[in-house]
Amino acid sequence: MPGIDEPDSESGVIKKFMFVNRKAPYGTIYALEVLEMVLISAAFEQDVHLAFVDDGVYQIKKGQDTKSIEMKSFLPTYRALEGYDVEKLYVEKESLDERGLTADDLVVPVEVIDRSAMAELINSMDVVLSG
Amino acid sequence: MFFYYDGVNNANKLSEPPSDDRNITKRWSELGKEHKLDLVVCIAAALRRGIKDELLAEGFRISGLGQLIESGVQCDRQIVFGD
Repeated sequence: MPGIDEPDSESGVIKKFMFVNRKAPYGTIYALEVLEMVLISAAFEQDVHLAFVDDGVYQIKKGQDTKSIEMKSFLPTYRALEGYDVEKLYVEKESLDERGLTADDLVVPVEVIDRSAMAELINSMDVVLSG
Repeated sequence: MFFYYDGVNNANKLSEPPSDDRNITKRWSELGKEHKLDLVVCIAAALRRGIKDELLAEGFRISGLGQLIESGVQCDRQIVFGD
């Protein structure tokens, strides 16, 4: 299988990608599989944005310990995103409020925006993928 | 067409719905043949769910997530069905 995941540097096209995270980190595979898409799109040098809404905000909550469910924690990967030039992280304010969380509870620096601003932001993207 | 998340199960030729129900895998193979579609299954998502090359129905192939991102870069529109 040749050419898998090799960035297409020839095209030079950069689009606004947004990955919308809506699910809690464990229990389903969505969070991890979205993260895999994020890393690949960063490798393709795209303009990557991440949104955390609903239970998706739990993905980047501090103090997670996955030992007892015998799953590898991928929390460090969010911290490493900066190294891939993925720095545009947005969290929906209402989702934090509904869960009694604030930006201080999160492991990475994010921009907290309200629901209508999030809708506008998503609308301004070229490609939106969610999980 | 790119199959991701549980969508990779669409490619499993061992799936056998009751004969009076729709067979989605078979329909994909037929649709792919009729319209010459590239039916790409994500390798990481597939392996995680036990979908391997030998399980792929006609017309499907396994490739990397880069295919999905590249299509997003090159196509004028990317449409997502389901999750």
